[in-house]
Amino acid sequence: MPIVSAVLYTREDKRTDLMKDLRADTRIDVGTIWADRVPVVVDTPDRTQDKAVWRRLEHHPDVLRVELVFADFSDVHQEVS
Amino acid sequence: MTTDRRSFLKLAALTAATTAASTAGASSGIDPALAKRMGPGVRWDKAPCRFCGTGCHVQVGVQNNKVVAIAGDVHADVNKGLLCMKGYHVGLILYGEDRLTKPLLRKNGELTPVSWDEALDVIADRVELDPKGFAFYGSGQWTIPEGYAAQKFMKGGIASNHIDPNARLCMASAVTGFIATYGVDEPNGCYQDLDDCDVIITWGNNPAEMHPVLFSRFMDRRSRGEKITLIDMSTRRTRTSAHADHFLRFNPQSDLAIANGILHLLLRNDSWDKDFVEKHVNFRALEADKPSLKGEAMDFEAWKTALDPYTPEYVSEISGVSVEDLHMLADLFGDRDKKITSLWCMGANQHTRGTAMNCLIHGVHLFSGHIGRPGDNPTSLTGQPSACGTAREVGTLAHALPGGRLVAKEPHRTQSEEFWNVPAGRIDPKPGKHTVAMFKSWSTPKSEEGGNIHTIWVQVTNPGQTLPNRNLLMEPGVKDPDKFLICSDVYPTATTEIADLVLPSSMWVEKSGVFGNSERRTQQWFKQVDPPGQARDDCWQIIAVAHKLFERGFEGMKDKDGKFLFHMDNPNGGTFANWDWNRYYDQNVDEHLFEEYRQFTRLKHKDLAPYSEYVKTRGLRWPVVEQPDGTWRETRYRFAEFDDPYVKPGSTHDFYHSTTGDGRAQVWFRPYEAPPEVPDEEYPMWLCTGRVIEHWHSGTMTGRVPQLRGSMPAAYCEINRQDAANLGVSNGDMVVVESRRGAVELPAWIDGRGSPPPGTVFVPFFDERVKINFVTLHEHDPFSKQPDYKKCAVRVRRLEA
Repeated sequence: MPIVSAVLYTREDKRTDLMKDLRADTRIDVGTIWADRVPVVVDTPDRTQDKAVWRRLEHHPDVLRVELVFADFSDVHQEVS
Repeated sequence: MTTDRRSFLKLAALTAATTAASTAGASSGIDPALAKRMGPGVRWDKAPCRFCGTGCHVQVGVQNNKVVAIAGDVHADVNKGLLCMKGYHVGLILYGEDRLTKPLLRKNGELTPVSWDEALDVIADRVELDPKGFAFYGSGQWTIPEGYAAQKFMKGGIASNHIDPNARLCMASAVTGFIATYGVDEPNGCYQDLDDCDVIITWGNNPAEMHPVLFSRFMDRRSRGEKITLIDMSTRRTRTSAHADHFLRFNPQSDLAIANGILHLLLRNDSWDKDFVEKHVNFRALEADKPSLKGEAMDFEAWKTALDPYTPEYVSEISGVSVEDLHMLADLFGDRDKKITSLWCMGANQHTRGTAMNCLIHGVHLFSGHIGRPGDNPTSLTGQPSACGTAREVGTLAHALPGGRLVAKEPHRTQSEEFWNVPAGRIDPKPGKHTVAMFKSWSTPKSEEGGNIHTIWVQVTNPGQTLPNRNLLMEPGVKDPDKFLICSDVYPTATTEIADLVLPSSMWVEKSGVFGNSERRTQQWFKQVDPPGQARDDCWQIIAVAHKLFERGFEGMKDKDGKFLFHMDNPNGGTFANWDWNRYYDQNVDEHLFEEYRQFTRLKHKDLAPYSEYVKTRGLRWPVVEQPDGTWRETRYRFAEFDDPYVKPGSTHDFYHSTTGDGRAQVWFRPYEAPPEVPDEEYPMWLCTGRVIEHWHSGTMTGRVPQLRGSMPAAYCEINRQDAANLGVSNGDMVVVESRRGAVELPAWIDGRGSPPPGTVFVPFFDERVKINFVTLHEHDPFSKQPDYKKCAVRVRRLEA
């Protein structure tokens, strides 16, 4: 069950549609926005959905660039704790 | 997974993204609300191990900007949760007390702190002095983006091909062996072979010490009661020999004769794989006039005749291996039901006939049909974490361009110039100087022929300790005021000691990176802690020097449109100031460079996935091919129809980069030839050098880890009991090991960890206080240019008090 987070680079004056879309999708959480950068985390039940969400975000007209930051390594915590 | 754990992970993911977003902009620091919710604790992330070519996955625990814990990753295919003694201590390599933290310039003989700006100006001055005399010496420890940046800086910017990695000293013969046999570099199999084979043969290889995690796969299977045979062929007994079913000690260089002896017996016993050979193999020999890796066709009858002399008796006489053992080897290869994995590393590579030896190992597997099934493959191992990913795939060798291209080939230059958007003709068609030639030129006065290299920039390696025959290749350059040595490193080393300019570097998880391991697996990690003081990333150093030159109007640092050679766009337009250290991590420079490099990877079917795919995985083995559903599929077994998407359907095996253009691999005839130096009356013993399990290469990193240093504090001379008695040497006595080139003094260890036969001594090279490479030989293989560190003639005497 992938959990992946990224920074979406946007134009500060043109991301209303994006923000609406992000908030409408329950699989996506939005972090604190810094200037033109929107941190998001995507939690999906499988790789196919994960892929679909990211593809949609990459091609969203308000998104200039996606920079992946974190991917699910849940076992890391599990194994060490 | 529990809801709590999942919530925790989501929070961690969001925190990471928010941190990345905030540090990318003018604001800094983590979102205070999120930080509070996270609470105190350790943040875990992934990275490949910093040491050998196995590429184990490590879980890195960070707290308060410091690596505080290391664990093996149980879900990593490579190491299945295990690490070796070096791997478990890898976090400590960051925290030696003597980290380099300031740029240092030699003034009046003393290394003196200078600003980064002054240091960059000095390098730019040296380039402008004579760009064609400026050389770069890197390593298989460069990350893929670093190596790619260095490659572009030199070949696309300075228009000089004088760039070579220390991998030249380590696996260059494996490269030439693969290219001569299959037309393309790197193994067809993968580590899974070790789980599926019936027999492992180590050809001059000691994985129990050098690749312990891979060796543990064998030990694990055996401990579970599986029947698996280990045959260890070596010039001395090692820890691997201790676990072997058969230990075959051979005389130095006679591995060539043994391989030919196996082929001879396969013919004599009529047990070779006729079907496989008929469909998939050609026979090849060196051209008489101008020998090359392509060679010339040899008909089967001529090939058979050439092998006639290699009778078991003749081979036994040369090698010292018994006739019975030679029959045993041939019978194994003659049995198609057995799955055989051959492993080799420095023993076959650091060899004046290294290319030949590599070709012969492949040849034995091809002629007997032991290739292309899981468990049944010839697999060469590498010593460095990205010897494959960076040195071989990015192609930071003096004759190469990225993705298996060659500077000598016009279409390859044109394509590279297009990818780099530099003017046609920018790339020099003449191969640059390989490692030995580069340092020989640097150590030759400028006024003399061949002395044109005036400056070498060394990154991520320690030639002051690891080059062979240092008196010939380094000392004259050190004394010559016209010559200049720049060294980027993390600790004081035998190279920084003699350098004119020392640059402090970030290491491992102090920077982001991508490595490529021995089984074609590309692995990514993010920066997790800050480097100390003014230490900075090697990749940034390259880009910053390039930008200095760009500012000065140096044409080579401009692309066709007049933009900076390393120009990167900001997402919102304008130029990303990647040369400004304070802005360097505003964007992911690694990703920019990796995506640019990725364009190069398809020509030789070494296809890489987008950078983001590697973020999500624990590495992928190339070729990585996009599937109709948008996912990316790695390839475990190349050239085999069941797994490799590039194999022609219906052909079962297809060597699609065949040098003969017919999908066939080449089985070579390469004769046994004596080594260039053999023991004689004056120097009556063999010297073999190598590594030990506690230390990695020149000990720069492992020497700073108290646990490892405590386990193996100093180098030693491993000597046979009889030889010691003859020389009047007892355990711990100081001895002098001396060759025609130099001498060292060190304590004797009688039948030490390994056990050399009479007439042979072994000295590890990790200890910078005992520079054994003053003694070794610089003679090298004619194709790979890789020197032979495994055999030269020495004399040994007890050092009188």
